[in-house]
Amino acid sequence: MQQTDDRQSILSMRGIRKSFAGVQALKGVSLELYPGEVLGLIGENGAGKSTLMRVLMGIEKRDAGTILCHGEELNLTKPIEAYEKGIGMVFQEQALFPNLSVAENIFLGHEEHLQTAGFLHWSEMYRESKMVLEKVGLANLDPRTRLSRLSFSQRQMVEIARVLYTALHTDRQVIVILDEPTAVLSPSEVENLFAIINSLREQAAFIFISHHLEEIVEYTDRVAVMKDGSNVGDVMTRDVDIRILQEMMVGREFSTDFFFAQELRVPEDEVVLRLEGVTNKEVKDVSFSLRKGEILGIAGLMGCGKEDLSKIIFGDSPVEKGTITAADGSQLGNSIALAVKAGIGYLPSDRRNEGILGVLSVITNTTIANLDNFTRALGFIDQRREQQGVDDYISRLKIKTPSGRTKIMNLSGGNQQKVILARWLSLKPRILLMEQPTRGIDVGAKQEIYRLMRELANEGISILVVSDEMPELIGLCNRIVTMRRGAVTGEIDCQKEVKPNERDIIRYIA
Amino acid sequence: MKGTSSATSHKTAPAARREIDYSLIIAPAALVVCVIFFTIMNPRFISLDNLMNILRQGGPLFIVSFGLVGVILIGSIDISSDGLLSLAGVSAVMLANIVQDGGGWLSVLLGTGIGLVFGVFMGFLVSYVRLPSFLVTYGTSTICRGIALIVSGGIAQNTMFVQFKKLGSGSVGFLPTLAIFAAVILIFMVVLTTKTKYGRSLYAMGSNERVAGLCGLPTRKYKMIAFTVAGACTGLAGVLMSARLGAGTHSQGQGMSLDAIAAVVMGGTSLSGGKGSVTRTITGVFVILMLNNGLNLMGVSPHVQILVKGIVVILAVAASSDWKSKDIVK
Repeated sequence: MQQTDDRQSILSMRGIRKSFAGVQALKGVSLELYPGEVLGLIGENGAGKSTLMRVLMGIEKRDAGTILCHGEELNLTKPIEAYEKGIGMVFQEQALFPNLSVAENIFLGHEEHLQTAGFLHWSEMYRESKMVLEKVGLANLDPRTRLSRLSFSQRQMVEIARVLYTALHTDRQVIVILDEPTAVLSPSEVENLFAIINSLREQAAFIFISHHLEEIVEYTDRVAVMKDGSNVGDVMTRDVDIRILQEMMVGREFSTDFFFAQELRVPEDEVVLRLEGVTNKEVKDVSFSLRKGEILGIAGLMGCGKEDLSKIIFGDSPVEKGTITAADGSQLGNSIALAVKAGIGYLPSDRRNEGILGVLSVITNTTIANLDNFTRALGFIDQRREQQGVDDYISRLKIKTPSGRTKIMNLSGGNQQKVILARWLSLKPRILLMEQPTRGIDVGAKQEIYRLMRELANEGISILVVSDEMPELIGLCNRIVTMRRGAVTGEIDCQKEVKPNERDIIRYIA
Repeated sequence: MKGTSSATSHKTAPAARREIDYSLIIAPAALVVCVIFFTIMNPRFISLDNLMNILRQGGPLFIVSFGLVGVILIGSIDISSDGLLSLAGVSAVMLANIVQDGGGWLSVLLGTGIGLVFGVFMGFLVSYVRLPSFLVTYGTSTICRGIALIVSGGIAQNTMFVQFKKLGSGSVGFLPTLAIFAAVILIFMVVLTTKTKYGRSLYAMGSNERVAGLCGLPTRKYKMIAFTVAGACTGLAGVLMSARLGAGTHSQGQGMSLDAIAAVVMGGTSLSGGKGSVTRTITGVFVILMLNNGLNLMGVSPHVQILVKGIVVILAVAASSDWKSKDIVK
């Protein structure tokens, strides 16, 4: 599908490979970028877009492949070298310093020619800042302003200015990577962003990563599509529509059986969890109920409040208004102890920081939330019973580990997730809250997790799944609740006869 | 059940590998080097007399270090021992002088109680007010030394009461009483850290306090208990130290915090928390004690001694650090 183009590319990545702990994130990916163009880079989460960009920036070291920038081979080891070569990235989470001035943010890390013996030439710095700020439509902004006083979209422009600055001193085009820059912008701000991008085509080419296919179709010249760490398409934007792009992203061989959808059962009528008018800083007036044996999905874009939902139910994030009612009628909220007592288990998306006890054993990681079950009088742990209990889970969940004494950080992501699942299963839970249950887990292990989730639901455990992966939600769930800007926008029936497609859901969340 | 565990062991995950934990070798190796070196320099070093002397001198350090393990396991630090030892010691001696006969055990209670109260105080500030443990314990050390100075008027408090002094210098058979106290604390701490829910929770909190909280553990309460236990141990150590010297002074215990931290870390307990044990600390304490004793026997000036000890402590921490897992050090 590679398009031929007789122009000289300014960036050429060929055969890039990269694996993390045995999992191949990039399997020989190629990417070309031509002067003045806006290239859309799309793919599902985990397709490898961000990894590819991190390799380009020198944040990750590639295992194989070549990168040519203006014909010169690049072997970067840190992002600051990328900036020197005129490659800059505007990150999803802004990488700026709010306590410093706009000018300082623009120059931080490349002040060499603006100083004498360690003393900065402030007036020159402000003059040069003014020049680049003008280019990004912030002509009226005083570069002495503290960054924290700027709006989010203004800060984004400062990030772009930071990259553009390098272009002032070369006649070469710079490369600006925009990683989901529009996720938190209003429509008018998005329009403004692209007006500025278009005005900069003389100085720069852009790689634009986004999940919003409408924006891709409207604002890019060309689209590169990635799936599972490979290129699956490279097309001119004028030749495609949203639907074609979606099919390329998801892949045609995609089958619903991957999620054991045939075994999906209709849940019982008993409600095990009810949220009514739940409101806090992240969500407003959220109401829904979860039935026994049901898998309920929560869908929404980044920042829609779904990230906070499980934490609210689990008592880790505060509830300001509204009620959360457990099966026995007791009120939950604002207390983890209450949630655990009500039989709720929480599997967070950030496994590394919120899930595993890295330096401790599989045994400790499994029993830590339920030690009372393994203790005799006075809090003494019955180590034989504990070992036995854990061995049971290791064989039941097919956890691949040399032994129960192995440190959990030496297991693969999928097996770590299983250990955390075992942790909550040992509590005999009624409800599991699973955030991004298969993030960072390779395909085979993914299906294992799906199988377990299906089995558990059919045994009568209710599961709330918060996920960015549409196919996962559609395949697994009985029902999907959609969210936008903190509020519930819809409820989509998802039983096996009436499986919706991704577009049906995107309508409610975008 | 054995069957399952051996069956799963064949399906080894490729990522799992055997690691050599160098931090476990440091203390035994240092111990061997110390013994050989000091015996060559002065053969009297290895005599039974001297070894018993080391045990007696070392009793307080053992007790302080064992108590400290709990605090370091959760990734916090306690450097209050210097001051707390002197306050407990001075108070115990003054009480013994007032009560006279029968003052021995009462003094032990008073000193341990003072340690416990200050432990609660520090634990509260760290867990509930959320102040950094380094500053809280450093400040508390100074407060305690200040109180010790005030109540003693800055004068060494001597005591002649045999019952009290026996606690520090007596023996049961050939074993010094101080060594027996240390053994009791050792057993208590080993059981607490390895056999109980509380001990397991300390490791979990040290590995990742956020995860421990998300598992429903009462992390604040447990943290406060860790400081309380450490405080009580230090209080007891202060009393015994004064009993051995027959005096309590505001300057006793100087440098004890650094010695104890060095002993714990050298024994392989990680300053970043979650890794280590009380039993490993024994070897660490022996290294510090032999260093002190051996340098004394060699006739090295005390001024040079503290210099040497500072270097050894930094080397020990460097050697037992896990370099690979560290990005940022503060």
